Amino acid sequence: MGHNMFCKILANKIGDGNFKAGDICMTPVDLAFTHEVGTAGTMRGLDKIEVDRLQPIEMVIMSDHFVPAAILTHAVNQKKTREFAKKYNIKNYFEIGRAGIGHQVLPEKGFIRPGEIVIATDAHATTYGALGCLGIGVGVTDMAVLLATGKYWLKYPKVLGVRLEGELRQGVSAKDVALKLLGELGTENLIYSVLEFYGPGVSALSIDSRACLCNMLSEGGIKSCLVAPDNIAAEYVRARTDKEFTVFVPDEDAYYDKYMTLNLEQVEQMVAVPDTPTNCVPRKSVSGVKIDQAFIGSCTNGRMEDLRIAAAILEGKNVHPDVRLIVTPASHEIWQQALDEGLLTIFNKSGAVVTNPACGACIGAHGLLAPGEVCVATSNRNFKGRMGSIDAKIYLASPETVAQAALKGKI
Amino acid sequence: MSQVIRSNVVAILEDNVNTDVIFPARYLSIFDEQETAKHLFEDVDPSFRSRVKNGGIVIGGRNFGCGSAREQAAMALKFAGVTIMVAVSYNRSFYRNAINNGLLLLEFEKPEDYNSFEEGNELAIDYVTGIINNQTTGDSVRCLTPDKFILDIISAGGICQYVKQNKNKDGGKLCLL
Repeated sequence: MGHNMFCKILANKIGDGNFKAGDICMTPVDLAFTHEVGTAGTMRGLDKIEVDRLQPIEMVIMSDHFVPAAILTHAVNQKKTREFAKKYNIKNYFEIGRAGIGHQVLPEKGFIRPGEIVIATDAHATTYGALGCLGIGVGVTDMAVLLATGKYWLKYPKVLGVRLEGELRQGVSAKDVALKLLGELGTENLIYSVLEFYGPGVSALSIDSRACLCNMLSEGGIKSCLVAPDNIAAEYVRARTDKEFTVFVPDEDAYYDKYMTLNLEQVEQMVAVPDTPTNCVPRKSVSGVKIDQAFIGSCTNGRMEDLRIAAAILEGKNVHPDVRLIVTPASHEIWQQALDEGLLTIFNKSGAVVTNPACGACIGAHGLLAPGEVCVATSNRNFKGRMGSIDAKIYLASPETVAQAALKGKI
Repeated sequence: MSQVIRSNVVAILEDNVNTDVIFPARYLSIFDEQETAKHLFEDVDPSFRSRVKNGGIVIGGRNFGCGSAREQAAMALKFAGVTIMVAVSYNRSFYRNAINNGLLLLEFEKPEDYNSFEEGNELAIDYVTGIINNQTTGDSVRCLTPDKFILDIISAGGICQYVKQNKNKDGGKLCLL
């Protein structure tokens, strides 16, 4: 029986591919990424291990959660992050204003390459699967151990295969695909596993769409997510780095613990209803829910494709008088491109607030919800209290659904 | 260190308890161990902390610790006093974070065993064999047996201490195994 992508990527680092589910594996990795929360926490781990020399692992560091700092503790943390980068001579440190949300900046600047393994102190590291790169999110002590020993330990997971066929219908996006899968498979099937996408439907999805898909599926509790890289993925990477990389795709007869076929044409618009991202229903079943705030942004849906969809809906129109719309481009490259294309003007004229690239409203760093308020957001989590009051409600949806709701005042 | 933990069930939590409610994002800059404990379940159950301050067993449902990989969620539970957790399943980062900080997590072999406990039950948990004896009801349930690697990390007191111990064994090289 042939090998799946996860098996090939791991075997390329350690051994011959004769793994079985549950095996504990120690693997070297290609890149480590920490944001300001992760960097400060990693320092605690390094102090506990009593190490001051890091293993030679390429690192990228940027503050992206609470930027620019609105309270002193965040400012102190970001100062520590800068000091850490200086102390260990991390060349790829990006100051605020020069990067954005890490999960977008890393692919954009050529740090994410097919066939590689990237460990990040953030659950949405699954995003890198858009380019066939194994991204795994970890806590800060895991990061400290990786930097101290040069190895990451993992338990060999179940690998699930999803063959994509067809194309998305007009108005349906990768976010809807992710919400459909989260709702149908649930954490019972997804937890601890690696999810792989392959088949003819892959090439019908843009890199932005693949990033959204891999990012959002993190909410099912997966270890990681991989999309079989095609020419579109390889060209995206080659345009951004001179570094060589190896593309791994699943064999025709690849082993999967479970597999399914998904026809993209059969996906409809979906919404995750409060208070968990796997509570997914068709958009039509929540149609009419009144909103106070709409948010377009985050590492899930703050990319060019998302902003273009939203701008096309908002152009020449006004956001509903009872709604605040917050738009947050995912990176400064995107912010600039959106400016050049006139999208920021469209948002501003429609009555939206355009913020700097950051995790922002998604993590409750600003744009908080008061008790009793309702928000529809393109972000990835609708937990109680995630965006402010625990008595507020959050619905998750695609940029199209959120932009339309911002105009109508309801989903 | 004995392989049997005797303590009381102090809380039984539902499915999908997420790390945002365990440890709110606004405190993410905090990494001091005792400080993290102060914000445990602050928005949804501020009295939780006082219930675990003298130790105790927390029972969890499915997908406990889902959402963000923030380590403070596991740290807050550990440093507020939780002795051990038993749940149907955990989010993978939460699981690693807890083990790395020396907080042992067990998983029920049969998910329905989640229903066989009440708050206040006195349990004897053999965490090497995975057998839980409920001293209050006389019932016994099984958990999946943790890997030796996980138990070694727990007996060292956490993965940082574990890596340090290995250094002493292996001629000064920091390593995982």
